[in-house]
Amino acid sequence: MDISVPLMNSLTLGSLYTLMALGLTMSFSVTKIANFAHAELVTLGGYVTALLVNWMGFGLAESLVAAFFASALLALAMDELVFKPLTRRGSRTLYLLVASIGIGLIVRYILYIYADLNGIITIQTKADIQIVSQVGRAAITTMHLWIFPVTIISVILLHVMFHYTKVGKALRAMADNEDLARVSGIRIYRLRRIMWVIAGGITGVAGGLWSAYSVLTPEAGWQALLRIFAASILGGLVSFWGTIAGGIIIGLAENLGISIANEFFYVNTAYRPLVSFIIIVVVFLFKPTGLAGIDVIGWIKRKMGKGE
Amino acid sequence: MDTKVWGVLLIVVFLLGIGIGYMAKPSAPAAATGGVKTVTVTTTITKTGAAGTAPPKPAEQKEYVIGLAIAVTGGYAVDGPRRRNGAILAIEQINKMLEEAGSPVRLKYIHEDTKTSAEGAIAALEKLNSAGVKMVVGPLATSECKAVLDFLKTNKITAISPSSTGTAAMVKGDFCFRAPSPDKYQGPALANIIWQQGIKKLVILARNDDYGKGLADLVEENFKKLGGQVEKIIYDHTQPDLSADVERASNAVNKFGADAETGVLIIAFDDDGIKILEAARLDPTLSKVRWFGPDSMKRATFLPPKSKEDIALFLQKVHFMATTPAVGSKDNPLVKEFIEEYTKKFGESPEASTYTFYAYDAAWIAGLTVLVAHKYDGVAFQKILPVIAKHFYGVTGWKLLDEYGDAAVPIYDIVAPRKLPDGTWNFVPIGKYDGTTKAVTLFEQP
Repeated sequence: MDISVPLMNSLTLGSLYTLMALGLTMSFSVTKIANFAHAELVTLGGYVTALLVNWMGFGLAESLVAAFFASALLALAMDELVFKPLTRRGSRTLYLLVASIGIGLIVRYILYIYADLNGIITIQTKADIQIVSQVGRAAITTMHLWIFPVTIISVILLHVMFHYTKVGKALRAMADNEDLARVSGIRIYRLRRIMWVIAGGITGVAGGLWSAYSVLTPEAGWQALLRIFAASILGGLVSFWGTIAGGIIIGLAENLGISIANEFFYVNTAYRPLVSFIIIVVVFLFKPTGLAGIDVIGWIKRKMGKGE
Repeated sequence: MDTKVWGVLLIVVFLLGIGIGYMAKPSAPAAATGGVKTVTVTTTITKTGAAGTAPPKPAEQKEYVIGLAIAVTGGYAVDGPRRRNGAILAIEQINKMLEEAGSPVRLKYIHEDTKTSAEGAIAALEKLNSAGVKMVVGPLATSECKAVLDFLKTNKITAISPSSTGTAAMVKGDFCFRAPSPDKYQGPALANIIWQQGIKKLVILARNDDYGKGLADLVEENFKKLGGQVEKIIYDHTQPDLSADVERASNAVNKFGADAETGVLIIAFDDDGIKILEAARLDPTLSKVRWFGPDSMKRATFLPPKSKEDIALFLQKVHFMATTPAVGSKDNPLVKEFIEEYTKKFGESPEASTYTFYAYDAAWIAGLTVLVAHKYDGVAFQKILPVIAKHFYGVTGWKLLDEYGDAAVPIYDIVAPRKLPDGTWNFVPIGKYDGTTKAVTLFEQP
């Protein structure tokens, strides 16, 4: 069995799911909102990219920048108009979750109306995707040269920001204990805005790349949401590195895993979503902290007898 | 920022968006954007036989409703509005005819979106039923038709689908008629066409619904009868990514041998079709063999400007050909008039979707049935509709129905993607398949 194609597909999808899930991890870790409207940040970024490239003749890079700002603005609006007022009124996380579903539906159907009026219910960003190299039977395309670097750079930038800048450290403090952060003099609402801009923006870029890689409909983000949550949950919902690992594992399981299961055990590829569901259930049952809760170095040290 | 300011800003941006969207639409059909349209009747009847001698009496106004249970979201989000518009045009033309004849009768339509799902179709029919509708144009998909069969029978509502072709909705004595030839004809048609192209080993990639599975089974059965080998892959079309299914198809082609005797039949709708073609065009194995498709693959979505030119070039490279229920020639005055009026009203040619022609004919048949019945009764409609259809010749030809109430004249156009001299892409007819003689006639090579 030649695994080059499913492996390449896994890495591509894993990177895209990672990029989509980073924003969710970030917003959850800081606000504790399981934001279902995150799906619409993906879709909006995708549509902005597709429309700028297809209709206005912009390049992919400029369009991705615009997608960043469009989704960032939407994320900010979601928080300012709904999440923040609800939080101030002391709403529980369950209410915030339900509110996020409502926001998602509103945004999705506004997108539907716009797409229907303009005949773009199904649209694909007309990026020039050409094969640059071949690994086995798998083609490495110009799209891969976009997806992989953008994902890696995003993760590095987030890591640097969260560990080496004042804003990042304040965000981590806020994620740990919001009340303590407030009494320590951290302007939490200003920080919250910065967080939504970054989380929304990165998700918009992911949507833009998705629109060039695959095809976009107003439901594209919603369809990917299960994988986004699975990747984020696998990463413990708080860790960026865990989210990367989660995204790649979801990508591998849904492509390489299902290809192997199909080849040797005749499992139908239609069962792919089951992989994400199983991951979510298993993580919540046995390791709610996800991959973030695994101390690999400590485990190695203990095994080597150097630990406590 | 204050919440109120945010609220006002959002409303302003939303209104601006609606304005821009409205301006961007070349010529949005007035009727297409509304759900219900009411025709006001103000005409009078003039007594015949004594023309000019008696003053005209005010006529008793009568309005019959035709329900349009047509999906405009979900899998038919792109093609559904076109079909709905085809039906609307037919109803408007019938009303114009009635007005010119001085008749007091008018047809009115109520549109309900079936959302391309079985549940959506039932919900749409329930709404139409509660509005007292007994004649319906729709639903579009076989899965939708199958889902509403019992409801139609129980509530005595007659329906005529403009595009359902799957075997799952082929039931004798039901209340659901179908304007295009069903897949019991298209299955053998595809198998014969593919076989006659020299293909002996076939990989079928079909979406997991009644239409996809039903057609895939029929092609498999008929292709095997001809002596061919088949590998069938049914994929879940609701998934965001289908690269694993494309990879499976690639492996199947590899096993058969990627040569002139191996082909791929893709049975997809718009978004799943593009996902598959986008992944397939980058696969060296799948680019080496011939590709075929049924009626659902002859959509403007797969060609520029709707999709990337790379996909159209891939289809051309693999000598793609698709079958589609035949429509009349453009030289036919009936067809010519329909294309002109549709284009004038809706700002695009109906040729973007074959089934727009079928929706137009279906609505004409439904309208004539209601007028001939002269009473608003679903049982009467069920009895009259096949007779009207038998004597009806529309833009899609003769509409004789078989014992299942489906179009019984199985003639298919064979189309292939072509870049036209003006630089645009379109599916152009390159042949015909006559189901009565099983003869394939190709005017040109794909």
